[in-house]
Amino acid sequence: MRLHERFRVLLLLGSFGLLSGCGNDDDAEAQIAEVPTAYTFERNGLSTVDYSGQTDRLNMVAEIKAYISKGDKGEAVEASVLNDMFANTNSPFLSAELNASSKKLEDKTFVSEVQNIKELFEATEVASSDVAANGTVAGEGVAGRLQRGTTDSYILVNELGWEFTQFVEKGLMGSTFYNQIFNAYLTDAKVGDGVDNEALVDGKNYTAMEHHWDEAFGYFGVPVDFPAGEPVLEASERRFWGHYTNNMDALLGTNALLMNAYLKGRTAIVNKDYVTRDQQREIIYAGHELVTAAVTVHYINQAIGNFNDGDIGNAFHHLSEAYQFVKAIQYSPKKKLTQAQINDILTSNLGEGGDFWKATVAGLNEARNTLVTTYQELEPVKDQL
Amino acid sequence: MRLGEYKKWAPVVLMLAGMMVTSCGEDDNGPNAGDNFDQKGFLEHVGSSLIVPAYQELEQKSGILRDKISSFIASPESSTLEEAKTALFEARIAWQYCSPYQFGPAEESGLVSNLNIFPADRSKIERNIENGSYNLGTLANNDAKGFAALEYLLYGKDVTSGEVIQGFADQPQRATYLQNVAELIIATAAEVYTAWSPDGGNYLGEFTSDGALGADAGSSLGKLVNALNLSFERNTRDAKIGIPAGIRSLGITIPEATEAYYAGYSLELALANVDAYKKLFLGQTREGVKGLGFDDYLKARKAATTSGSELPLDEAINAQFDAVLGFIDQIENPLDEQIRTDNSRVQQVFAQMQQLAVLLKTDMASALGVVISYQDNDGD
Repeated sequence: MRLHERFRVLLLLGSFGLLSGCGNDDDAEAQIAEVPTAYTFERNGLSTVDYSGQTDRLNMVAEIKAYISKGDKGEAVEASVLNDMFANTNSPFLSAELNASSKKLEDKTFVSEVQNIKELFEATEVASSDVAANGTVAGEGVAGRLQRGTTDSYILVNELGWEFTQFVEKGLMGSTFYNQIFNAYLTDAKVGDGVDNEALVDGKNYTAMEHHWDEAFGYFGVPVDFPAGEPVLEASERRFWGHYTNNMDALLGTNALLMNAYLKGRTAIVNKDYVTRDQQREIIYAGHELVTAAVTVHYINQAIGNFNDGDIGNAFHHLSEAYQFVKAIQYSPKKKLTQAQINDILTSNLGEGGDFWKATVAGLNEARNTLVTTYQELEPVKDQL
Repeated sequence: MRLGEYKKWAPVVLMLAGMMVTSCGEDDNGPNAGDNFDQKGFLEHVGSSLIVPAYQELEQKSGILRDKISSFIASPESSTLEEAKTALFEARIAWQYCSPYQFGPAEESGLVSNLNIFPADRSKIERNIENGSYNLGTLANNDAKGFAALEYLLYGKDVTSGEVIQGFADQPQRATYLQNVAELIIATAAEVYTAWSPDGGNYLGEFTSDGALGADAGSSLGKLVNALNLSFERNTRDAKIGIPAGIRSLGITIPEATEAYYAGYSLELALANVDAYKKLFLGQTREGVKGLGFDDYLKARKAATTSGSELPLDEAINAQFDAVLGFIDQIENPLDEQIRTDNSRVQQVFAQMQQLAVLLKTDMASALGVVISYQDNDGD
């Protein structure tokens, strides 16, 4: 491995030699960066990495989740608070830092989803207020609360059985985080050959291309030394895509797959080695998609088990997860699953018209088969997921 | 299994993988080297002498049930009603012997959800009959089908058999519903039997194949041990005893949640069910013929209990099975009545089952190197 890296570096050095031989690159930094073990990159002894805006947005979704899940506990939730959090207006967050942030989620969310999310907020208010006042239990066509198994944990669902907390949190993981990675920061418009990788951005220590790559990494949301350390993720880090990537790691090796690609791609940008950068981009697209498909199969497996337990609360919780995970795949322009297949899973396999009350084991198996057939890596581990 | 659990067992999986590599040369039976136990022979015996016959019996009894129900519908009178009730009882006993094996084909077909979710939702059943339009496959109808629904329809609540018979005569769609539920039972039972059968999908071949040896999560042993534990905890300990006895509801009892609330034979079902687990443990067929069982496996590994009991683990588990059966014997049908009059004795059954669950889930699984990969649902 190490020898191999060195060999590649030598090759790179060789190609640089050629470039400088042409005399067209007077101020190119001559030394070639090695791929670091952690996501730290420096220029003149100072860090070139900054994705604080992405971290802010991860924290915002965490606060939204914490607030909306009060509805699961039987408390009334207000749509105006959720809308304020989404748009970061009227200082809605507990964290003063987030209230002061110039960032918001709404303008980074996949355009056609913004309205859906706001409608979910409204529906959460209606259902949670009803539960708070009347203790309404959900039923077919009736929003309300459901108990998860025999535990004292509940979920608040709409009339189709959709759990608001999962639909909003997992929904934003797809329509905001993935959307930004897939459709913004890893595109040619942001890290392609036409993007400035020579001049430093005004007042910053990074080039535009470097910064865009870092912003994609910021939405991945893992610690810089991922996946080193035991535990790999501290309790506070077990959230969003980093968490699910780590959960799939034992079966699919997804931690190193994704982290190495982010590290190698960023190093390649420093080295202006755009062939490697593009290879790593492909790996990242495919890696995130694989994690998402695997998590979907995991939750479908769980839901099938819940069917057999006659446990509707847990079945709907897991179906809500599965629904939003598979939906997140649609934001990748390079997805292996077709949009038609995704739509089929969402509007037929997980219940006719997306109505979880109408879900059948046969439909869930069909969704699982579609995923396992499309992502061959999942076939040998489909029962263990 | 909770997602967060993956990391926890990643090292174990690696360790097992490591064991597999090192043990290949000395032992063809995969990762459980260090004993001379014939794991393949064990799986072949359990698969072909216990599991496949259990599903075959279920299919056969479910077929008879469907036929007897058709006869009853064709001529609704007390003799045909009694025959249908008997067929229902026998199919339910056959089910008890399939209950430990809810993995692979059974899980994919949703066998439990189509056969044995209880208690049945009376009002949903009546609503479906009234509406005439329903899809029994949906999650919403989980508690409006299966044996418990047939039981409600054939026995009724607080009515005489004459009134039950009259009800079917008066309401043709009631008869249709009864038949549809019975059809779904036989269809699902047949699907699972066919999937296991060497003449059909031959899941038996997969279950006993060399590639499925070992103890990791994808191995047959891993699936079997996980499935029997999950089913014992949820469908036996909790559903049959714990939930009706109020263990999961702060002591508030739910007598109507017993398995055979209308027919009053919940205890026969419970006894047969525990017997099924015991026979699996001992590698005994329904007729009591002994072959390789978990007891032999534990003996070969010289397994001890974690509680420090003087008995070796196999004997401790066997004794605990007898304790559970003995405590069930001391309570009386109908179980809902027993719960109302003296629930403490039902709670004792639960306590004995709980001890058995610990022995099977903690001691036995770890002695065999199997990782329990499901978890109690607690909020991810």
